[in-house]
Order: sequence, then structure tokens, then C-alpha cells
Amino acid sequence: MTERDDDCRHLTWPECIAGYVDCELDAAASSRVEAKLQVDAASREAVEAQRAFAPSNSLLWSRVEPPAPSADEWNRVKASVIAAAVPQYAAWRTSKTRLWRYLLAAIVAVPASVAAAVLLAMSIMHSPNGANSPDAGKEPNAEVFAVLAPHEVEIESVRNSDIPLLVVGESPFQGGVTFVSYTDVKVGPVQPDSDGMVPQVEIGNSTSTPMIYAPLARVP
Amino acid sequence: MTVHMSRSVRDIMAVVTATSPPVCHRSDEQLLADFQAGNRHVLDELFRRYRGVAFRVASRLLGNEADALDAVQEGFIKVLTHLEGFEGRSSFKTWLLRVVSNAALDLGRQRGRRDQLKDESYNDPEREPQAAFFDAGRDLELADLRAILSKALAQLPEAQRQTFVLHVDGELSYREVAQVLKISVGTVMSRLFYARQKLRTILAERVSV
Repeated sequence: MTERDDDCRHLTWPECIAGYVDCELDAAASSRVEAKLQVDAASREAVEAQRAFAPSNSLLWSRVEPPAPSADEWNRVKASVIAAAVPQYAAWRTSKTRLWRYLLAAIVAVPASVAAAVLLAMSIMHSPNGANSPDAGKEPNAEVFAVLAPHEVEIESVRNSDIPLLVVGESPFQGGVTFVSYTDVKVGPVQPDSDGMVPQVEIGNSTSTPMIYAPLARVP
Repeated sequence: MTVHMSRSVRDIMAVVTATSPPVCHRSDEQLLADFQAGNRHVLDELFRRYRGVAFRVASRLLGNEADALDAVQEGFIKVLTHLEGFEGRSSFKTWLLRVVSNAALDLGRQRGRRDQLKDESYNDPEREPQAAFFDAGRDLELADLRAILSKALAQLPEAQRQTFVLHVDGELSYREVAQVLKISVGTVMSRLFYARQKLRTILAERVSV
């Protein structure tokens, strides 16, 4: 018997025998093996030995089949498999979904951020105070700019005030109110009051308190 | 009287009345696609289809049912957690058996099965049944026969053992075994020939084959 037998062409003789026993050879190769078996007793013995442990020996393999696990054992194994496999698979799917979400968020967020930055820059450039104003960027306080007519205000009570009386009524001034310093004022003769008393007027460097200068309202 | 079905009931009815084939009639590829689409319930069917053959392979390689279950569990987990690596060039079964058989061999190495077997009473002639494999008239305990074969298999070189078990217990063709082990079909033939020869030599001393 040669190591590479011509009857099986490219296979060694042991390979031919194994393939023949397991019906893995094509018809032509099987015929060549059978022809050789007719004349070679050693080969016939080798084939019989191979058949004893081939899958086709169903009697042997049915007798040595391992006992099947119980339903409980299978359920335990299956539960372990699912517990281990499904969370990881879910995580894998989630990571894929997350990647798409990140991409989508980036696609939306980048242009939006650029647009917001441009709008902010334009609003600063067009602001009257400019960016150097201490109030720049601050939200305007609407209460400061609220203007109410006298009839829109009703005073219900005054508590813990630092003055005994509260002046209410029409403004005594006409026009705007201008703040001046004492250097802006030249005091002329002071006329006695209706009670004959001359008002005491103090003005000079002793005080830096700004004065209020405004024309008196005409008394109707 | 108007009956308002809950959403879950409608969903169930939709599944029941769907025209898609039952899970048991779907191919492995369809089941895997369903699983990848988020339907984890198809795992039940995949597990039911291949747990038996996976267990036979692992059990024959390890010679121990409890260890075999561990190998089957490990194999299924590895396969199902690496589905993205499954390119479909081989079948799910061959892929699973490759992983399960490797897991079984790893377990066997870790647990020193060979050393354990050498220490057991394998060479004790009083425990060895004298029987023929093919003679049903002989009173031979099946468990003993399994043990004898298991011990004989344990004496084979690992490559021959894995090839032999995948072919016999895994019911894989030569081409499938070659795919699983990434060897040529000729190598499969050669390994099987010499594995059987050696089994016969080993067992001939204990039983008349």
C-alpha cells in the first residue's frame, strides 16, 4: 500500500478508507476503493475497524449517548444564556442607537450654535451702551421703566416709613428736573416769608449735596 | 355592548394572525435577523434547536454532564454576544459547535480531566466490563460503556478527539468539520482514520469490537 494511493488520486489510502466508510467520496473514488478491497485483505480489515466507530454504527452511538439533562437543567442554562446575552446585545444596540443620536444632535446643534453666536454678536454691536457698559448683557428691569399715571396708583398703607408724612398729589414742578451743584447757583436777595421771617439759606462749600433746580409749578 | 380591547391584546392578536411563518419553521438566518432586530424571544427556538447537539459534543469531549452544561452555556453566550462577528460564511450550527467544542476543551484543560482520569480506576481489571459493542445479548451497563468510550477518547490527541466528536456527535460532514476547525478535508479524513484506529486499539484490550 503506498502512502498516496493512485486509486484515490489526491488522497492517501487512510484518507480514502475514512472517506469511503463515511460515504464522503464521490462515486468514482468509491468504486476504485471497492475494487481494491476485493483484492486486499488488510484494507478490508481496516475498513471494518473504521466502521466500528463511524456514525453509521447507530447501535453503538445510541447506547453510549449521554443522558439528556432534565428540563430544569435546561431552563437554568437557558436563563443564564438569556441573562448574559440579551443585556449585552441590548447594550450593543443601544450604543449603535446612541451613536446615531449623537450624530443627529451634532448635525442640529452645530448650525444652531453658530446662528446663536452670530445673533448675540450682532445684538452687542447694535447695542447703544456697547459691550463696555457695566449694564451690557444685563436683562433690562421693566420695573425701572414703568411709568404710571396718578390715577393708576392707590396707596393702601404706608408702614415703617422714615418720614412722618407722604406727599401725594400733582408734581410741583413743570418740565424736567435738573440736578445742579452749588456752584451753578447764584443766590440773590432773599425775600421775607409771609410770616415776616427771612428764610435761612445755607449755601457754599460746606456741602456738596446737589440741589434741585426746577421752575415752580404755577398755582392755578 | 362595545368591547374595547386593550393594546396588549390587540398586539397579541396581531402576532397570532400574522402571516409570517411560525418561529419553528424559520431558518437560522431568519431567527438571527429577528434577534438582531430586537426580538429576543427567538433565542428560545435557537436554544431548543441546538442545545442537544451542543450538549452531546461537549459531553463527549469532557466526559462529564455537569461540565458539559457549563460548556454549552458558555458557547451559547459567546456566540450570541458576538453576533456582529458572524459573517454567515458557515452555518449557525457549525459556528456554535466550534465555540462549544473549544469551550469544552478549555474546561477540560482547566479542570485537569486527563490527570483525573489517570487517577481513576480505569486500569482496574475488576471494574472493566468484558463485552462486545455489537452484542446486545451481553449484559453491559450502558453507563459503563459510556465511561469506557469516554476514557478511550480522552487518550486521543486533542485535535483527533475534537475532529472525531464533531463528526460523530456533532453530525457534521467532512466539509463542515473542516470549516469549523479551519483545516482541509483531507486532514479531517486523516484525523478520523487515525482516531478510529487508536480507539480500536485501546478498546480491543477491554472489549471485543
